[in-house]
Amino acid sequence: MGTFLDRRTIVLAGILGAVSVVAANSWMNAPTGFTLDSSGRVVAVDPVGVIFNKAMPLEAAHMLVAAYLVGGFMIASVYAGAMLRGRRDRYHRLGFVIAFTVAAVATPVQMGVGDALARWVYNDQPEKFAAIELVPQTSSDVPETLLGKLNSNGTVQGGIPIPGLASWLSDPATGKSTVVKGIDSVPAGDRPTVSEVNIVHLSWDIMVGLGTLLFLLSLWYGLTWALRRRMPTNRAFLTLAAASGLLSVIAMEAGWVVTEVGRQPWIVYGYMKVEDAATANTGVWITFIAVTVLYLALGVTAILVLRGMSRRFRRAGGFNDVESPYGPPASPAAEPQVEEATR
Amino acid sequence: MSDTVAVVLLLALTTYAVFGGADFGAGLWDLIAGGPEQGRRPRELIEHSLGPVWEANHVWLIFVFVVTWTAFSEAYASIMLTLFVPLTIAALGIVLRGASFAFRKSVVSLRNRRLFGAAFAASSVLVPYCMGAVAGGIASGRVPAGGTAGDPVDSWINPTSVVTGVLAVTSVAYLAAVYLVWEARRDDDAEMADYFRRRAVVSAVAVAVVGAVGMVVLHSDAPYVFDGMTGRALPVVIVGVAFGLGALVLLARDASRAARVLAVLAQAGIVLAWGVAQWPYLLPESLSVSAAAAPSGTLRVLIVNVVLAVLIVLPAFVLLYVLAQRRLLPEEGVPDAADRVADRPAD
Repeated sequence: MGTFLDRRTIVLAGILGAVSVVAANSWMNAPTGFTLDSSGRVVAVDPVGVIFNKAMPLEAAHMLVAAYLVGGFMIASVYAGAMLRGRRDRYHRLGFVIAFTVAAVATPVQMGVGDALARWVYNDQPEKFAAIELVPQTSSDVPETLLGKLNSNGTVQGGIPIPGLASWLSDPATGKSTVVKGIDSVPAGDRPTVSEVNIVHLSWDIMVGLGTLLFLLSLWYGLTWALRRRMPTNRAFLTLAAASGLLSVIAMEAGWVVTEVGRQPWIVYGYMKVEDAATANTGVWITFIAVTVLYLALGVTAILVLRGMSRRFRRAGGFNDVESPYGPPASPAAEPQVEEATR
Repeated sequence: MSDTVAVVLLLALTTYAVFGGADFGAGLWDLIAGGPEQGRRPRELIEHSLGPVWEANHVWLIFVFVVTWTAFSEAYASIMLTLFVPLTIAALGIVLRGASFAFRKSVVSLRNRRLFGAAFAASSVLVPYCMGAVAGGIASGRVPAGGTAGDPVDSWINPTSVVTGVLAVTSVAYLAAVYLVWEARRDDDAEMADYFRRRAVVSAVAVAVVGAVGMVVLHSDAPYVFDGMTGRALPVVIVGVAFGLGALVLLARDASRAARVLAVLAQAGIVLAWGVAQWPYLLPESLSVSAAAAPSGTLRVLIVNVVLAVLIVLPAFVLLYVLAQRRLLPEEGVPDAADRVADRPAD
């Protein structure tokens, strides 16, 4: 019972915590559940309406799946790195398989959730969608432009256009004739700037591109299991798997850039602009620099300390006789590693 | 309803002052324990008494922030905009402190241990000073209402802030010394018990002196809170002082467990007296609790959340403290592994 409470409540608290945090962000995208008086002060709040805003279900689902995806790939990439260096014993295989399987299952789910979320953005935040798809003017038969950029004169330069795909993806029922609203569909003062549009578009390409790559990697893994009843162990797969943790983090962060920069100039969509929400304190730069310097220093120190711990750990006999946090138990189970490492 | 939330806020702040305060105070004694050899034993005692619980105490601070910005956003905006300098220093100090404490446990060389130890100990003093200075800025009415910025310098470098900052540092030192006497007693370490008993007495005297000076300063610099302290909050002040003295008497009689309880109540008395003294204001004489309150829908959910937190989180916290008190939690860090390295003959 104790263990049950420990573990299940951590999972539950993690999920509820993540959903709550994302609910706050999705409220910024689809603010509901409050009443303003004539001077713009909040006079009444309906917390249920705030939390269960229209953007929340899909945004929360997207982040939750992303968390499992990133967590899985991150853990798996550590074991993949160790396997590349020759530690292919049962302990490392298990560590890899458990984590990578979670991520591999999450990846196609994420593509489905992401597709649904993009359609929500198409309907409810047209200028964000226009930035994502690089659509300056409202039109039908809009191409899906890979890379490329928007010029300040409102034309799209470079990139690889796939004819009609953006329209088709926005609403498969109407296909290529689906009208996609352009950035010109909102008043000039409420538009994202050209560079913001380009950041959103590039981040979108990075997120979808890396997501697709991770999906193909998951497919490779899944097919190998299906056909050979074992995980792929060749260097190409392991190298990609070792990079998958970092790649998934980049994909996730790119996704956050899409949703945050894509909402510009608003901080609360349709109600409050970033410039009106920002502090008037001019010392913000000092704080920003101080925080950055402190965390850089702590980050570097953390790496140095961890390296020092790892050195001592090896000198003390490695897996042989020292228990490490989250590591394998010190005694019998550790034997295979030693064999492998000394081979 | 806003009164209820304000009381919850004050209680959370008090809890932080008591539990977090003891942590910070221990850092101060670490800082002035002397050279590596001379200060080795007190530092060891401090390290293993802080060990497993030190991170958890900041939950109370986070709780205070969340409740303030949710229930009293206008006051929160004013406080943050005005007092961002000491608050930023405190935040960076907390990060540096926690990281240094963890790093110190994970390095072996004396030079590195001293480096992280110094960072840990110095930030342990800096943070309570800044927190106290923030309280002083608020108490002396230097934070304007309306979610606007006051003077970014005078709001925390002023007579009241200096006194409350020093009071915060001395009171956490006192509290920690009393705690450490009890810790040493449980180790049957008479020498260390005596060491911290002397320091408890000295810091108690320091708290009394600073408190007395503080009243003089409040009289001219923060009249509203002074009137409150000598009026409405006077019973709290008297009881708090009595507890503080009682703790010393018990320490002298070697009843360190009971002394600890009284010291906690004395520390709580300081924060509670401040809260009662400036009632009904969040920002004395410019913003009252009811005027700053969020819409009732928000407050209702907040209270429900507090009740849930009490039901769900508090038992876990109590368990954590009890386990820590009974020393049933595993020690952190790598001294064992390091010792093994040291014991092992060179290959």
